[in-house]
Amino acid sequence: MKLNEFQRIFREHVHLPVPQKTDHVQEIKQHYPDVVAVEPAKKHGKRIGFSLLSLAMSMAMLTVVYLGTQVKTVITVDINPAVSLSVNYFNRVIDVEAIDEDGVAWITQLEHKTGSPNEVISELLVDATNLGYLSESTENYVLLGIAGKTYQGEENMALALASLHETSENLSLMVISRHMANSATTLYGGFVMTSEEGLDLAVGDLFDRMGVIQTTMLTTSPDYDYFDDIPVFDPDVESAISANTKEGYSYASPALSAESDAFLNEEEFTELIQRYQVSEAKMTLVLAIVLGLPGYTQEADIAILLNQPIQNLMILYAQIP
Amino acid sequence: MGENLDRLVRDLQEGHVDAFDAIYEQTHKMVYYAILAILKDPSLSEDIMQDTYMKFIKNPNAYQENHFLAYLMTIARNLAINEYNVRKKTTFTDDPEWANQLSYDGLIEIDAEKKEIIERALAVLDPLEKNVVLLYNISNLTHKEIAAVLVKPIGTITWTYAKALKKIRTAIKEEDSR
Repeated sequence: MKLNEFQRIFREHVHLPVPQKTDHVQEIKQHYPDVVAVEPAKKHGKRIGFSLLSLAMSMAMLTVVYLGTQVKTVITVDINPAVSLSVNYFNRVIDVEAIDEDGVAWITQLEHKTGSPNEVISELLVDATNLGYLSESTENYVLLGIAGKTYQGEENMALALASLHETSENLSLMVISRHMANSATTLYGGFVMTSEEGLDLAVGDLFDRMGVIQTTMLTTSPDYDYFDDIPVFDPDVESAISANTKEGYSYASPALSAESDAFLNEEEFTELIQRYQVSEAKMTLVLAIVLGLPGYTQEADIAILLNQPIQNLMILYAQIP
Repeated sequence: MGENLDRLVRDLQEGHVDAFDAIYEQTHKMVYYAILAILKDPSLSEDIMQDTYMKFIKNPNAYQENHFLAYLMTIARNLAINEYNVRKKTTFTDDPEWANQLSYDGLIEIDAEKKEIIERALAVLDPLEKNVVLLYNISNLTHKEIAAVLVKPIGTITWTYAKALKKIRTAIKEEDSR
């Protein structure tokens, strides 16, 4: 039996209780307090209606054209080298750019710079194998970073990218996204998909134990908008958020608060990324290692780690207590 | 999650009581399953769900934050935990990992004709994987909504679901090869 056949059977034959009462809503609404009601909009004549309709249709057409050219999500693909893909509102890649020098050589091989993200990334991985960055016979490690505008877009993208893992027998993916982070002290959250057969078991166990990346990095956010999407369950984090303002983005993990010199602000973070020509996702991963493991104390350590293969970074990350 | 929830709440706060219908429509399943996982009693869970919305609607302007769902779920969870503690005379939150106690055990019904195959597949899953598979496939919640219900990071839910599917796929293959 195939998995989708099983899922169909599962959905048809398994039942959980569902809310039964249908009169809840009206009953609850009776408890709504008296507040000032807003006047409904006045009705307009037919002629104005037609004008508005044609205006709306024109606007809709312009919007479609506009959205096709606008970047909704940026995906970074890191294998040392690294590239970034700009994805529009219709989930199509509209641009591929190199993040570092080797990335330039990598994308010159790419025949299709547009298409679905999975198609473009699959082709990139094939090209990377031809160029010798990846191997056909040993485990390959890929770090995918997703920075989108909404949580839902990132979740859909993360799930779609996770399916890349199914396309190869020796591919380990670390997928991290901004909105998958769910506390104020986490810049990125995500997950690891490993190829158990091809992976050293000890490392596999570590990843299994870790499960999810909780990058306790700093702190800084270009603005607070992405917190709109983040459920906050930790009272300490909640009070940390409410104590801050948009201007002062300096709150941080309580665990790290004693080491104020360990923090970077937004500007410093961006400056580091530009100086080392790396993706935001990779810098996040490296900083998490620097902050989480003993023995990394200087900026030189960051530079050394940034030159490490993604495999080493994933293994080091898994060793953070 | 459909229409922007925070905008609907603002509408409600400005006097548009009908905005409540859409708020309820978008959130009630999450509220219900969050309560059900604690109380494990469908009828009582509906009562607490009603209490949750009642508490919110009596004073909608008490919500001033920027994440309504977290606010609503906190009300629901607190009411459910209080109810549990009153009825059981034990404290639900004794365990610091209290979120790991959430489950739907004893509430799952499986049609007799497919009971065996489904139970064998569910048996390979750990409790969290089972919760995620049930809420995603049976209750049709998104991963984000499940994260809110089970009080887990969204990444955990996405990863757990992918892992659960992999386990089920292996179990089915083994079953077929027998």
